Amino acid sequence: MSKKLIDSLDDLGRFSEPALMIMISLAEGPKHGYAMTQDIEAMAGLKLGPGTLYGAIARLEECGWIEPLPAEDRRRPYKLTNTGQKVLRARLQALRAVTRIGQTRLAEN
Amino acid sequence: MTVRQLVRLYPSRWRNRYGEEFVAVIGERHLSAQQAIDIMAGAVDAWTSPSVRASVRGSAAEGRNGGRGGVSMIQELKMKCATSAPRYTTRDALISAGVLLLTTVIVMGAGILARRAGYDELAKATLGVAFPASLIVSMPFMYLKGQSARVQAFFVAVPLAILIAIAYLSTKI
Repeated sequence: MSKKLIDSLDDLGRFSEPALMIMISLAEGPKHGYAMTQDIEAMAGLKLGPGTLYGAIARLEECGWIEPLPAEDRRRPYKLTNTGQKVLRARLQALRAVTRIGQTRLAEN
Repeated sequence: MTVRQLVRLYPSRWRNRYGEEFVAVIGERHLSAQQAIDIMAGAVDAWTSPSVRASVRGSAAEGRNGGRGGVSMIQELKMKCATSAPRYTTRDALISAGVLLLTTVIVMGAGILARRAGYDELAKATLGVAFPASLIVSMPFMYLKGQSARVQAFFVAVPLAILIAIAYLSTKI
């Protein structure tokens, strides 16, 4: 998997982690902002503030990793794009490798 | 303070793009202090972050062109993220370095002229601020690239004014 794709999430600075959480949440299917925050809290125990959530959404949209769908009532759902899926897959693979190394090292001690 | 009041802190383009769904996500309930701080920090980010402004601009262009005209811009932005490229190019860095050197030479020249004219204190202060002042002047060409003219003017004018004030005060002490 391309290193550029793996590193590209890091370009989002302090929004990298919220962005990753949003992408994981959207991997299940399109969701609007409120559903994302609920899902992320249930999944990772991370309570995203609204300013952080929309800071990350705007960046992900700019990168073309998520895209908005037509608004339902006042809420607008977002979906993961094909590029977004590639970036997410690359990042999760990298994380899996790091986790495996960490667990191996812990087991050795 | 309600969410609608806090949303007014965001740029109008941002509000047009995200305002309604942002309010819908939070609802009309009373905000916690933590949420209010997060929203205010988000407002600062929306005003200063080139990527957030580009996202909002992209959406606006797409909307104006019936959802198709903004495609090339969006594609361009996708490329920028996917390649993890820095926000400025080598050319920008060279221009910035050129501006930095040129401004330093000019300010130092002014300091030397002041010394020859007998204004020792002024000369000392001018020579002291030559580099930091030049660095500030060069910021729009690299570090502040992509920011609006207003943001660039603010981040150049305010530190320059502070620097000049400090230099002036140092001649009086």
